[in-house]
Amino acid sequence: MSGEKLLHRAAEPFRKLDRFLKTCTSSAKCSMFLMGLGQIRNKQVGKGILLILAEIAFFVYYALIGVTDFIGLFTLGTKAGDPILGITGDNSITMLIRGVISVVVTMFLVFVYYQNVRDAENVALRRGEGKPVNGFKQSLGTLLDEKFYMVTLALPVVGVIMFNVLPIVFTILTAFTNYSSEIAPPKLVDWIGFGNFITLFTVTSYISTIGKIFYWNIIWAVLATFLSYFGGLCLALLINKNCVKGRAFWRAFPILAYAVPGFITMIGFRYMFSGMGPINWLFVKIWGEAARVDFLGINSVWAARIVCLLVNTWVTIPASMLLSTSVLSNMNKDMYEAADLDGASSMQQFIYLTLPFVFFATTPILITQFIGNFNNFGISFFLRGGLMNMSEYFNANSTDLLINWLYNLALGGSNNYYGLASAVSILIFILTGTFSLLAYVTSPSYKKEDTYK
Amino acid sequence: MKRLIAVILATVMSATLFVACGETESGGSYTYEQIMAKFEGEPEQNVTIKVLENDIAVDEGYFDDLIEAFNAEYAEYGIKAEDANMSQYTDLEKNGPLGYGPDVLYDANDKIMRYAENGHVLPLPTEKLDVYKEGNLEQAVSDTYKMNKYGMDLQFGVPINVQTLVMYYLEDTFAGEADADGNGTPDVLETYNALYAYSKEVRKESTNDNPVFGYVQSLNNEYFNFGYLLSYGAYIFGETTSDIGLAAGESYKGLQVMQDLASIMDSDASDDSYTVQAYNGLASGKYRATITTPDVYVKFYNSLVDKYVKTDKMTQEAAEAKAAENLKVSDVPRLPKSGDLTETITDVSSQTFATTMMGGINGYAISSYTKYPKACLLFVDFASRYEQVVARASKLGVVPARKDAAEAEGTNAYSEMVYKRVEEGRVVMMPSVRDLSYVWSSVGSMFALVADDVTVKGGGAPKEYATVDSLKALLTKAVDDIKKVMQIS
Repeated sequence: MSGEKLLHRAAEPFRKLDRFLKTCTSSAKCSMFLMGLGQIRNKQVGKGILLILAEIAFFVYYALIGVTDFIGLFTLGTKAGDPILGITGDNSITMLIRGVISVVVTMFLVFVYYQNVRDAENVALRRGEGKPVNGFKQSLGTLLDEKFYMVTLALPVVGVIMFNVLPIVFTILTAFTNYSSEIAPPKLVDWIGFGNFITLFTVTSYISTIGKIFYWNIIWAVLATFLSYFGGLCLALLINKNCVKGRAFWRAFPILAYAVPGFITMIGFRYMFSGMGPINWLFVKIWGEAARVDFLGINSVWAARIVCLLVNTWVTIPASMLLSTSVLSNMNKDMYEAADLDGASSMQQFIYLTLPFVFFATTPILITQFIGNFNNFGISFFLRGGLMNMSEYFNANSTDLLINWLYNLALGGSNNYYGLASAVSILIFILTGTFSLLAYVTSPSYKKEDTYK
Repeated sequence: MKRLIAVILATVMSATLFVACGETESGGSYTYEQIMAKFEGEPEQNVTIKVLENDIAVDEGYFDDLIEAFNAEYAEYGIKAEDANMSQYTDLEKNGPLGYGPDVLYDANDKIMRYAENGHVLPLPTEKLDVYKEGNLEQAVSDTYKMNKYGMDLQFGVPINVQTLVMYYLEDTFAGEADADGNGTPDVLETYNALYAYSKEVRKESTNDNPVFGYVQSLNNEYFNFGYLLSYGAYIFGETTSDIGLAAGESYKGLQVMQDLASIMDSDASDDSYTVQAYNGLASGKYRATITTPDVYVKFYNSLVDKYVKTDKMTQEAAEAKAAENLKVSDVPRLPKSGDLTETITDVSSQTFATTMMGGINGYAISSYTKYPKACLLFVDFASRYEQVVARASKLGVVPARKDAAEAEGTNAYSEMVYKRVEEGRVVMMPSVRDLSYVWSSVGSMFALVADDVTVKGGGAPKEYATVDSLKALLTKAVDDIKKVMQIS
């Protein structure tokens, strides 16, 4: 696309606005000047008064705190506090949050303003055409009838904005500040642009740490998902076999393991694989002191990683087995009978019938499992929490995933790097978000939606 | 349309002007009186202050005695102290500004001074505190709470007890051992070389099923082991914190000592296992000697009493008497000038030297976020008085920071010994700067690496760090690591 065309396309909304301003009704123009004025002109006095009150409320908000909050979003404070002298000072983090709220309120004002003009224009046109126009009571009535969804959804939307969107925006913005345990209120926090990202990718100890952790994170996510998924499937197939007697009994064992809270299991395994645990005791007993393995020690790399994988497999297989069992129970037995008649072996039946069916039915769950494993905080935390091999990593050890590193940076140890941790969380979001999207749109569940209908 | 835009702009601008009127920023310098103004006047009345104490002091009942005595003393004002009921590791830096922290806290000097750097604890009017009266504190002790802020030297904490490393052992375990100098400490515990040889022997005599160790200590612990480097010429910070002296002097010999020590232990040396198990291990006889801080004396004592009651079927009274008599605390052994623990020592004075260990001062500080600074000041003054410090030392086994209390009869027997080490400069106090935290994490990793190299990789002898050059390189790398972290932070 040529530059001229791009410019033309970019200017289109302004041309539309210009056309609208030239052709719109007087009511719309009144509402542009003062929210609700057009409605009053359209004989919708109640609605008009409400809109005027809303506009007054907005301006009172801006006059009292809104403008200060908005400016604070950019300055993050100008006066540092000093608790010793009782000087309160500016709280940069509160200012950041309030600044974001002021932006949300402004966006809401723009939305209400737009709706107000649109409503004034539409009602004026209807009146011009001689069509009936709703009065205040009727308008309220529609909110309880055809527009009831708006009433019911309003509160959840506000909740989502307050408790989901705002924290996410706050985290994203924190990634662009120097917020840390050393630079935190009462000290003033500053905007540092892409400083944290530059640090992550240029400072040697960070880049080597992020490289090592990311490398292990990918291997971990793939292997952990594979072992858990196929382990569960194999177990389900095994227990489902006709030759197995007392299936309920055998199925109860993995469910028992599932019923025990995961972290309790992990603490148990931590002891079992420790220097004084029963596994090392057994090794020493059989092969002597030289056979002792430092499974989960600070400098252990692959031994610790293998233990983490095995423990994760143990913890996650039961859920995977239950899932596979339920999917397998929906399989069409006729297909197997037909395959038998065609002379297909058991392995061929598994590869060409069972696997595609199970895979189709569970792809979204598989993606969820992969993302869950990519961000599996618990395993490394409970098996090796607190260990930081500073000679090889920065605030991490060989089994830590990006999510653990994020935790270590933000909350682990005595020095907390909130800005850097937020930058890492954005990286994790980009990685997992991209993967989920790609995996889903290329999966059979998405491409061959009609296959098993 | 232009009119509309003009109206909106005028409204926004007037609103901006309206809200921009605020208080002006105060500046300039402050006098001592201004800084201490919070402590002037009559104490707040009918208030409750929350005190965050050390866990052992709470568990052993000392803290209850302290607050009971304080509450009785200040009953006329209605001032009441109570347990803050928080983890002793509660971070004032995080919780204080949110209003969750305690009013008074007890912690190590490095932690308190870290808070002081960012203004989370108040500077104290030393002229109102008995502990700061002339002659009560050694200069090195009071300096740990000193910081230059607002252009003057201010004290941010009240020293209560001295922390450093001491040796713990049971007298009856070493009953047959020689004591040539007659100082009450067996010769095998006087030098690390003798202790090394003794430990080798003890381990050889025990079985793999029931191993007995002559000496154990967690070799990953930066605080416990930094002394080995210090003893051979290392230092933490020079004039500035960018001068890190881990590799200074012959500090590699300190690592060689650690390697030799690792060879008489097992893989538990590279984590906290020995520290955690030391109390029961010493009581059961599995460990013959260990070094740790004086403030855990009571844990050794309790384990020993427990063992005498449950295993030896003694009465509680007899068990307590025997434990008090049998549990001994002595100075840390001397180190060989060569850094080689396998060397046979024929002349102790010429071949060895007295070990220097890390140390710190635990004490009280007042949160800057307290609403009752004057009541808090009364509490810290009360808790640091001679009688209270002696009571704490005799009940918990800690070493008083007050010179007069350390010399008191009611205090434990080893307080004078520890205090003498402080006076002789054989206890290097943790620097009271934030940058120390960056040193700790890197040094801890390096120590664990050295221990692991012997116990796990080398099967009893160093593998990757077998040469002097490799040890020197390791120390240099640790310094670089610390500098990188400090640069980032």
